[in-house]
Amino acid sequence: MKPEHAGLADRTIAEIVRDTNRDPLDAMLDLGLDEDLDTGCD
Amino acid sequence: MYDLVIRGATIVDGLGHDPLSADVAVKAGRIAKIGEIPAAASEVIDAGGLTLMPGIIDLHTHYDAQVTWDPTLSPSPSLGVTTAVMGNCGFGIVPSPPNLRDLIMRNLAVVEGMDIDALRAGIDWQFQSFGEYLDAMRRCGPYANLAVLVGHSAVRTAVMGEEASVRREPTAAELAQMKHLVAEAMAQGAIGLGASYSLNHSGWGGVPMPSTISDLSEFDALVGAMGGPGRGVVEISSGPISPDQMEEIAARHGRRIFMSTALALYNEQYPERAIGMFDSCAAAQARGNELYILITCQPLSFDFTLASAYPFYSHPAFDPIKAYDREQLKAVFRDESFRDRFRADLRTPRPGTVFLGNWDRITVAAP
Repeated sequence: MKPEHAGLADRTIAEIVRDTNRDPLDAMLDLGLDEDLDTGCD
Repeated sequence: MYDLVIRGATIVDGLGHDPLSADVAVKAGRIAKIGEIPAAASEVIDAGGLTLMPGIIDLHTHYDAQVTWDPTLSPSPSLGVTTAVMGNCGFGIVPSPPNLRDLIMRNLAVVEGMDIDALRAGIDWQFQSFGEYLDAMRRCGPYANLAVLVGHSAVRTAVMGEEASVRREPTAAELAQMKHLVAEAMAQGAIGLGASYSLNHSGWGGVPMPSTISDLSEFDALVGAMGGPGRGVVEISSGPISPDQMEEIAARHGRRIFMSTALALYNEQYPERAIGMFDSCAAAQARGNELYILITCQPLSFDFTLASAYPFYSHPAFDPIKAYDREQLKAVFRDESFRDRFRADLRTPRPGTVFLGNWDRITVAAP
């Protein structure tokens, strides 16, 4: 995981986009694309 | 005189009763008495306050490949499992014509999230028929009792090869051969038939697992081929097939059918749906038809990355891209039209789909 994304670990996609105007599906795909699709999800 | 007395254990009987401190006496392989047992026995074990419970029968495992190199069935026995049911969803590894073994392994690797290299290196193919497989299991000395289902996908693959994931209709001769293989496996010791119509079950390169594309009449014919009324059990990942359709088949053949389906798991987007599945089964049983739900005792969860986003594969937007490599996937994921299709799928999901767009359920994993 890139250092700039470390704050996202253990947070849900819903939490990450809350208080933003972002669509959760875009947020998930953009995060994955920024890490060569290696971001782990569970 | 008892054969065995276990003294001073805290007994958890598996029936929901409060734990009880007592002795247990065994005679001729069966529990003869529970209570205070001063009588002598050939063997006495002082449990010294340890907990004693019945062995767990794990109704849903996929040890079919692993057991060929790991008779310990790690980790199940250490968790209290003494009997493992294998071949669930119809994803067993026999019958295994030599020219189809790699296909069997490739599909299994994807649908059950196993490492293809481990399967290729690990499976010791000392068997081709179902009966030869059971013989090999007896020789390997498994740490738990094994109960093996013959698989709908397994027999479809054995008869139709690569076509099994492509062609919905078997020829009459192919169907006859599948029925023969099921009947033969039952005669050789299968406990029943495993099958799947789940849209969540994809194999290598994203192809559907073979049974999932078959007409329900094919499954019906194989249930019939198991033998007379009451013979064997059926486990099916039933996907979009309704309890009513399953009940018809259970009734026609006098067969006991166990449905394992994500539809029976509580889902906050369809809060009534799961309980409706149980109500349908209760109604079927009241009509004298043995239809049941099998359910996990913990939530269904997946670990995944977008390079292999299995939980999303049942959405049509993913249909054309399941075999894509990383660079191809990145191009698709950047594409707004793909994102719109994926969003549309989430608004109107196919029945039986696991992920329905609840983003509280997807967590970014700690590295």
